[in-house]
Amino acid sequence: MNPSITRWIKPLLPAVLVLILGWLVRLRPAAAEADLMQRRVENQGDIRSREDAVRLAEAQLDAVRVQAKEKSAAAGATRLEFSTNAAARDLSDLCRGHRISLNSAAVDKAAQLPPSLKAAASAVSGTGQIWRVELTGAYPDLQAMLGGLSKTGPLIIPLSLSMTAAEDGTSPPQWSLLLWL
Amino acid sequence: MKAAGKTIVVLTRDRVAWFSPGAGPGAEQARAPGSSDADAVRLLLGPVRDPGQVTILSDTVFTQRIPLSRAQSAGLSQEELGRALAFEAEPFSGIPAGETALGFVADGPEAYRVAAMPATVRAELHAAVRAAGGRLAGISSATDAPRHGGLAEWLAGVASSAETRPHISPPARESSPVRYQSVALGGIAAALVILAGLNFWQTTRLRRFEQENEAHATLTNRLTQLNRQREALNLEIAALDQDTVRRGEIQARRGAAGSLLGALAARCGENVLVQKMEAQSPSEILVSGIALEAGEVDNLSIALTGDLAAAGWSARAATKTGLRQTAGGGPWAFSILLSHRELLQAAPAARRGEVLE
Repeated sequence: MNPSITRWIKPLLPAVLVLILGWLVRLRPAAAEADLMQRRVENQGDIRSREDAVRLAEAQLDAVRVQAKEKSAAAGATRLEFSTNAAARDLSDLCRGHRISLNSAAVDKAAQLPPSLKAAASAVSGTGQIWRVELTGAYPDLQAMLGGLSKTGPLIIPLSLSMTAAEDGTSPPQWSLLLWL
Repeated sequence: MKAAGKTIVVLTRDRVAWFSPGAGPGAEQARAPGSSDADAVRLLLGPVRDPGQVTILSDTVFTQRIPLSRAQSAGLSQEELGRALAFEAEPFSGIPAGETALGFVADGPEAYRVAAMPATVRAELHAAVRAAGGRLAGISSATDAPRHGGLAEWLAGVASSAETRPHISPPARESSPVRYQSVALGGIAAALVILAGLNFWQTTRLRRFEQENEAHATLTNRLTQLNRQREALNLEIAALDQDTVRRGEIQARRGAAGSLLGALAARCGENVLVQKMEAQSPSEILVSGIALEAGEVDNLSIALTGDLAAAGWSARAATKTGLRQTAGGGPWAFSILLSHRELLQAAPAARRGEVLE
């Protein structure tokens, strides 16, 4: 090798050593860390598409909020409520109004709701009871009274009915209604 | 006297002279007897201010044409070629090859013209030039210089044939410990600067990626949060929808019994008499009666199913028994079972017996 080159290389050896040490101790780990972070960032995709996704999600959330608010308001407007005392009073009024004789009314503890109605009860505020009501009255009057029951403020739901016509055919029939009120 | 950046010194056995091209004739004087070339230079350049680059032409410099075959010179570097020529010239110059300061130029395809002098003499000349404030540019032979006068013309000839004259380079600067340390420290400093620069670059790069990663994480968290809120609201909406459906079912059920009586009243003509209605369960009612014609029972079932479909009822003839009081076997005692659709929505095990005990 050219002696002039050798003469310059010797004093530069410490600098080369410093470079190597610096590369090993600091630069290489730092580069590896930066490369790892770069891969992590690149694997997450384009940040603009992520921002677009956030904006879309915000818009969708706003739309769903509006929808929920509207539905909640609609649910409030069609609220149903059980109120046994008020319903019993309405029942008496309807019987009187349609010339029906209310013979007896009592809670029927043995009766049970059909499963579908039991599930639907969660949409109604308050707790209803099943009553068995014995009545005497003409067919058209009872039909009219049942029409009235479907419009009362507190819920009255006729579950079933039984009718027994009088033997002589002149007396009004006997009715047995199972009411959920 | 001031030179013009370049000075040529001519040393012959009995004369010494200096010239500065472009700055006048310089000076020429007799050489002090017994003085060495270095002494002569020192004396000659003493009065010269700023001699600049000094070229020395001396008749003590050995010069000769040395043949060297191509086979001998092939593949040699300039330095190796110089050493080879020094060995070849040694028998003629009497200067040991290892102590020779040598310059050479090609002189034909297989020969070189060399100029040689002891390296110690070159060092002395170098020191003398430096002492005079100049820098030694090179040393060449002046064996062909005229002995009396005409130096200026000869120098002009030398200048025109400079490329064919071998030229001994000044000695290489020797490394001093201070210089070595300076270079080493400078190198270390440069290395540290490079490391610091690269470190700054890597740190900046890392920080940039960390910021991007953090931005990604923030957006991802925000997206997750928004999606969770939307899912919660969707569940709320689904619950509201379900409640709406349930309220609809309850409202429909409120009018079901009234609709049933209305349909029976509308469809039972003069030939059909309903005598009894019996609740089988909250969802089933068995309607019994008498009809004059058997077909009217079936027609009644069909009509009731159509009329009461909206109210949730379906009708199905259960029994039909002829009482054999007329020629056709009638009248007919019948029963029709009216079932509400909520029965179908219940589990099979709960359909009968369990709903109304």
